[in-house]
Amino acid sequence: MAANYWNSSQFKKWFASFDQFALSRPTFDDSSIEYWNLIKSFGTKLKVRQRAQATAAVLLKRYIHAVKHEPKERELFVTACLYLASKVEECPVHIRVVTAEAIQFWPDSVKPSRSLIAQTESHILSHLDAYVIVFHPYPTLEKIYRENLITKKQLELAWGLVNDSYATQLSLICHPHEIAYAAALWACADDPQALLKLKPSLEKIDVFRITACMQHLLALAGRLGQS
Amino acid sequence: MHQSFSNSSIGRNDATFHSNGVSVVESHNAATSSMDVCYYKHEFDAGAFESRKVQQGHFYVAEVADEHTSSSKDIREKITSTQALGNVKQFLAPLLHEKYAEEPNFEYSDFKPPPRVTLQESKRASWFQDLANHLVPLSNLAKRIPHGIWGKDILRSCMSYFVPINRAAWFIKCVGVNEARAFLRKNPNNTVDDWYANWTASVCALLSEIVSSMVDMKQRSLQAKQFSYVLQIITYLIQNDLLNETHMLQHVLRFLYESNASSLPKAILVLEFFWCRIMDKPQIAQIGVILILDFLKILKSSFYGLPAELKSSFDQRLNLLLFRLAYKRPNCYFMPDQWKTIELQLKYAWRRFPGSANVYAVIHERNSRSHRLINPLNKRFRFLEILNSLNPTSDWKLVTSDLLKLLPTDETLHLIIKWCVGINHMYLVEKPYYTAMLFRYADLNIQTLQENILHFLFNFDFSHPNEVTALAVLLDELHQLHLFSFSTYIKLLAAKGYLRDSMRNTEVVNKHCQFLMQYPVHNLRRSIRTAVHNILIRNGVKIHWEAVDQYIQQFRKNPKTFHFADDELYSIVSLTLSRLLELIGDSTMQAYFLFILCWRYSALRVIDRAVPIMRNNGIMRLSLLILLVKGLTLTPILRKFIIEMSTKDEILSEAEKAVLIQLDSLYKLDLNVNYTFVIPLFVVQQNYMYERVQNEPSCLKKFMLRPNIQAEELVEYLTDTLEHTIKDEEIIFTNTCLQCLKVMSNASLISQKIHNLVRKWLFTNPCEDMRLNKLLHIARARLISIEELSILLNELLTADTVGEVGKELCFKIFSYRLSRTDDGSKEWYSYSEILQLVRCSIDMQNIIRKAISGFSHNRMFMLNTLALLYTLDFETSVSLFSSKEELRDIVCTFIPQLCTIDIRESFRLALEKCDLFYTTLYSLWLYTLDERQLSRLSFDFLFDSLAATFPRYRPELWQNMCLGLSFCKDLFQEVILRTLSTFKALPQEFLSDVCSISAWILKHNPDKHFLNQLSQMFPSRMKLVYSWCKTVGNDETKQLELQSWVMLFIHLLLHFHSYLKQPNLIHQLNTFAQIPFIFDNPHIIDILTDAKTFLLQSEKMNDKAEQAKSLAPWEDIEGLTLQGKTPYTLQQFDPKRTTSQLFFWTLKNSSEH
Repeated sequence: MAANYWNSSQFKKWFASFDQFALSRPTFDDSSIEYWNLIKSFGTKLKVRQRAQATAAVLLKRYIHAVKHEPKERELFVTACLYLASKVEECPVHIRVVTAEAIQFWPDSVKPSRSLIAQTESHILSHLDAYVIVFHPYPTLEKIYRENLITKKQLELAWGLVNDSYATQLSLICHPHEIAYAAALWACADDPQALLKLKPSLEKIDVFRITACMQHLLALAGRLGQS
Repeated sequence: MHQSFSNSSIGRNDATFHSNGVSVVESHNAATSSMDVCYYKHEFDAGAFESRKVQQGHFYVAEVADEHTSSSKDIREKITSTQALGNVKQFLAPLLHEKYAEEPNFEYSDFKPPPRVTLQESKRASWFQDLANHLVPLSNLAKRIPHGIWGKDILRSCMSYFVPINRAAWFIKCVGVNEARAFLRKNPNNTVDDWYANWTASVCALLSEIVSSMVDMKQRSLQAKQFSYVLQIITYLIQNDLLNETHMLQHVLRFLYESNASSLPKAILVLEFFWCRIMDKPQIAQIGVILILDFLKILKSSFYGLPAELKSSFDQRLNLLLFRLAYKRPNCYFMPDQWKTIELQLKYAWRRFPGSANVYAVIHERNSRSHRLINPLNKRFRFLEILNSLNPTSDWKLVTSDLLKLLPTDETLHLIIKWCVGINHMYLVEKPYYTAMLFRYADLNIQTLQENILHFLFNFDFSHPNEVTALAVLLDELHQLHLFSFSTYIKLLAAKGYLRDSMRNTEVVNKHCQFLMQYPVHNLRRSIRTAVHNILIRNGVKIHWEAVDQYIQQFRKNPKTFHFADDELYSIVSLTLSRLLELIGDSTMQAYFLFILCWRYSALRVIDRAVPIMRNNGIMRLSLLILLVKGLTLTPILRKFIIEMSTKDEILSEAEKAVLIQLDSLYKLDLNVNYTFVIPLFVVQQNYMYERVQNEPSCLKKFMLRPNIQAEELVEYLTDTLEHTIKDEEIIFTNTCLQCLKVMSNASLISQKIHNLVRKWLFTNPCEDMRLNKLLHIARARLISIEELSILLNELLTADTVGEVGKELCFKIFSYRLSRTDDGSKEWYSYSEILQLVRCSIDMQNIIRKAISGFSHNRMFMLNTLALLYTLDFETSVSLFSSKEELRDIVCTFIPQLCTIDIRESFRLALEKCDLFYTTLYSLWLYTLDERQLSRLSFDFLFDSLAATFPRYRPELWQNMCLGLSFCKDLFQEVILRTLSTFKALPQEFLSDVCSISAWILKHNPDKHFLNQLSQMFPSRMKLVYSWCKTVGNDETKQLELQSWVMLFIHLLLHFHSYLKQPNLIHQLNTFAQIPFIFDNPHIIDILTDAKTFLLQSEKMNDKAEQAKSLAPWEDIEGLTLQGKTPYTLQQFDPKRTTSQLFFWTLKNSSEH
């Protein structure tokens, strides 16, 4: 476990290069959006925090990336990831509750039992080499807000964009602060003064990566806004 | 830089996640390397211990109200509805530029290349064998690298041992670094660039040697292998920046010129191989286009006696390259200066490629528009130019759309009719046909068209009989195409009350009767025909039935010599024809009759009628020949006939076959395709048949009987015939002979023969009328070029020996047929043909100038000459006349009131009456005024006159006035400057005139004062325009005016750019794009884009300094080499692309992959 992102497993082990990733698969597609929708809806049902839902999304993505194919029992894996994420993010939900809610939520799919969920969880953990700490863009956003670089309204907009970013693979190919800044820039887009305030913070970051990240977020917004 | 990280340092991390080390290297880099020195410190207090947390436990509250929210929709709305996208772009672009501007600076390093040793021949050979062997490690070889191999030799050695490309590159780098350092040490003044150039030149030399030596059949397979090896290694060197790519590609282009007949295929192969790279470099590609087009000309004319099939295949391949370039990078064809010279060649060459029309249209549009942009033309002058350039093969659809684009529809129709009918313009027999075609392709509502025509008809001034005839012919043509209904005209006459008894014999009705007399009534329905006759009889107009009967009798007596009198009324002719058509039952007679007809009247209409009966008739073929020699094209009906014949299942009759072959050959003739010798034989057969009809002994029989005819003999015979034909045979023989000669024009001796013949006619005897006629035929059939003809005429005029006779001849040429009739104005067809030539050639203009000085006493001649002026611009017109008085006299003949009234009054009249066709006259008139007269045009008077015209300002008024007043140009400039500064609202036409005036001034007499004044006015006006923009709203007329202002600014900016060199032009252009309604006008947007392209290009051209080369790629001997280009998926993240392309920031609707 590392408190520093640059020493974390997320950066050292799970970070994929932009170029490599771009060649192998799209940044987002129907399936990635659907996974995020499943996690969001079931997570809200379980009443777990946003950060746990986000962690679940990242863990599932890492798993899919590691095994290089998508699981057949989507619901089961979403349930297991959420259960695992709730523990990782220190807002645990009892496995009994998780099982009952899952059966209720997806009455038509494979009925998950407690043992099945536990088994899936351990399967995921083994594939992830037990590296489950996930760094999110939220703290960076809050930091920008606390430094009075953006307004409350802009923060909320940016926050929403970060939430949406979990429908993409950006969490695997971008550093969390990059996603945060990209979202913040979009949130301030109609306010040139706010953009200027953000400029000094961007000097230390690779602007090109942020630009690319923004392009992905914009494409996603186009897609989600359309549907 | 990457070399400091070896794969082993990555450890086990590599194994599980990444397929290779690249991403880890990158992340490692990101954390520690120098690329991002001040890397972002990811620090926040999430992990920090606080006393509160220790006491109360960790409790996290999000800063937002709802942490589960989504905001994609909000963002989308924000971006589409506000300036957000532009803001972000403006914000990020400089940051991205900054980041990528600071590229790592590779200095001259202290890297030590492996040492070189001198080796014996055998050891050197074994060393190379080792190099070619994969199993021998390079570290072993590095100990003793052979000395003394460089330039061509090093590549040749690698080639002969087929050293694997990677290893060869390593070797080349090792030697290269040493060589480069030695070169720089020995010549301290030289730079790395020089060394690169030398090295590239030697590589090119090797490539060219290999290309030119590939002729030995025995060694072909080996050579082919070596050839491909060299291409591979060169590609590798270019990819790794070890060659100067620009130089290399230029050399490749030069190969075409250096190649001979045997090496040409390889040179083209090399060109094809490197074409993709050439396409990526627009500047080289542009040079390539010009070079290849030049080369194609050489290839076509003569290229070491290559067989025709080979030539055409090379031609095809090179054209394909050009077309690919046009398809992928139309920008490379953006060369306004050269476009005029290459456009026809390209259009012809690409006609076979699918989609070429679109590509060509795009390129043509861009070039012509930017041409206009740099050198804005008077719109109406351009209109006239287009009309005067029409020919039977014009692309009607394109021409019509061009014309409609230039001016509003109503004005366009009016001007076209006026052009067709007016006697002020060059008379062409085909004009009515052209007009009808233009109307047909204009894709207009018939109702609108008719309304326009009738409006013209009812406002028509029937005073000039020739114009009336021309109008009648035009309406007849339109009636044939169902574009005009005659009954509507009659109805309108009735509705206006002109047919009432009270109106009988009034002036108005008489005028309409005059027109109706001219109209070929036989084409109308019986009821309308009766109506027309009634109208005519009621008004006491006598139809000359006697004349009609006379003609019919004449025809019955001897159809073969039948002719109408030269000055016969059109109505009589058409009535006679309609009677004759009823009389003649025999199809042969009918055909012959049509054949006669086509000489005198609209040939195209005749051909339409002739097609149904020509299938079984020989004489029709002859008439077709003549028609087509006359320069006419195939009509749609004829085309249909050809298609029908070619798809017919039954066996064709002999006559049908003959007609088809004939048409085929003629069709080809029009396109200038090469012929086989078979076709002339057919033509000769036609000739022979005709002679048999005439019962004359034929010398052609000897050709018919012999199996192999020599081309020379035939040419000899034809030129003889051409010379010795007597008057009666004039038409048929001359044309048939010319036809044959044209078909055989492959033989080079023809042009010389014709040249000699013409020379003989001109110099040895006074030229008879018939010969003159033949001469015109020859010129029309383009067997002698205009240049040649004009040189001959020039010689004739200057030759002392010819003297008076020569002058007489010239007179005959220029006023041919004029002397025959009293009313010469009717008969200037031949003269107009000569005058048409004037427009194409400066030499001919000189001749006309001489002729004018010799024949100024002949009024008719001068009048006809002036008629020519309408088709020329002001400057050419002025240059033709040496004396101002003469010019003025002639101008005053056209506009008599100019002489009689006061100059101020005339000026005012001019401003009121000036239209497209009179502006040149007025400017010529102004030009002829003397200083005393001009002094009456004071500043205040001019300013007031100008201000008075604004409510109904006619386009190009002031522009033309300015042309005429070169004396008081300053005065006019002052007026314009004052107008610009005084008036807030100005007509848009006036603003575009100011554009043209400034362009004209800059072109002919760069006047810094005027421009400086304009440029000083510029910023304040621009601010004013911006402030108006906010208040304009949806007022369309205001918007149009503002758009004209913007156009004016763009033009001025471009002009300033060429003359005053003002900085920040592009930025200023960009500011225009912020005016909201400018975006609604695609024309302005296009011009803005073109202007930007032009400015950027011209700046690029100036900035020739290439990026300085360094030795870094050479010193990086062990480094990673690039394997190829960046994949497409990554290209979209290319920072340069991000900042330079506007459309990167568009809202994409779906996933971008």
